[in-house]
Amino acid sequence: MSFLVNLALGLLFGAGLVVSGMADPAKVLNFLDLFGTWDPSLAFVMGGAVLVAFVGYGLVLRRDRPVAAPSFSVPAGKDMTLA
Amino acid sequence: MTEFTPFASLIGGAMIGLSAVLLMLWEGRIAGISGIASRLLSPYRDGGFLSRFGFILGIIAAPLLLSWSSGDAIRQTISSNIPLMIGAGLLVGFGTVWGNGCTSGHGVCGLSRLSVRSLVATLIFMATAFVTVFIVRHVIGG
Repeated sequence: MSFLVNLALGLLFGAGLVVSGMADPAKVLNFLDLFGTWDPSLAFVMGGAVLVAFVGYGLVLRRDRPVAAPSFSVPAGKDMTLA
Repeated sequence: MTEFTPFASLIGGAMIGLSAVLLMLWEGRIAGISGIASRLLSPYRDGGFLSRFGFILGIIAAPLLLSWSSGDAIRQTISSNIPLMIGAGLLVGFGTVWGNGCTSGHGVCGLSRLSVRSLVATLIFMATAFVTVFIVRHVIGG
């Protein structure tokens, strides 16, 4: 069951990559090429994703636990090192 | 040149965000693709293999299904230099494990959770990527 749910979510993620144009590495590289063939699309992908995830995480994390796991495993690491 | 696609990119981004939210709802986990992919191999034996395998399989299958159902090939521009691609892939894998995340893990999931660590990581890898592309395209190449 978890396999099928994850498969469906992977398909949604992958379809998002295709629809957004990010399945083409050329678009990613052009986002990074500010002084050449700049293509700002990636910023819109990040914007759309962060907007939905910010609202959605807010709703989901109000639950006591996820559907198929005993607890949320949200990264708690705050350590930042130079190496 | 690639065409600027603000609307399609926003919609596609929202789909990625929705996938991340639903993964949190179901598994209680972050949709960090590098993390999920790297944990497919040992030494991670926590019983989560099938879930991770399903997610990665879905990502790989999505463009195949879409191009098969629409009849249009999905545009991809990549190098045909296989050793270069293997080297680049190894660097991506090494870098994302070292940096504890990638564009999806830090960039999408981390920023959405207002994680300072993810913000720092995203700013650093984006800045590094801008500089790398500038050097490769405008300093070395031309």
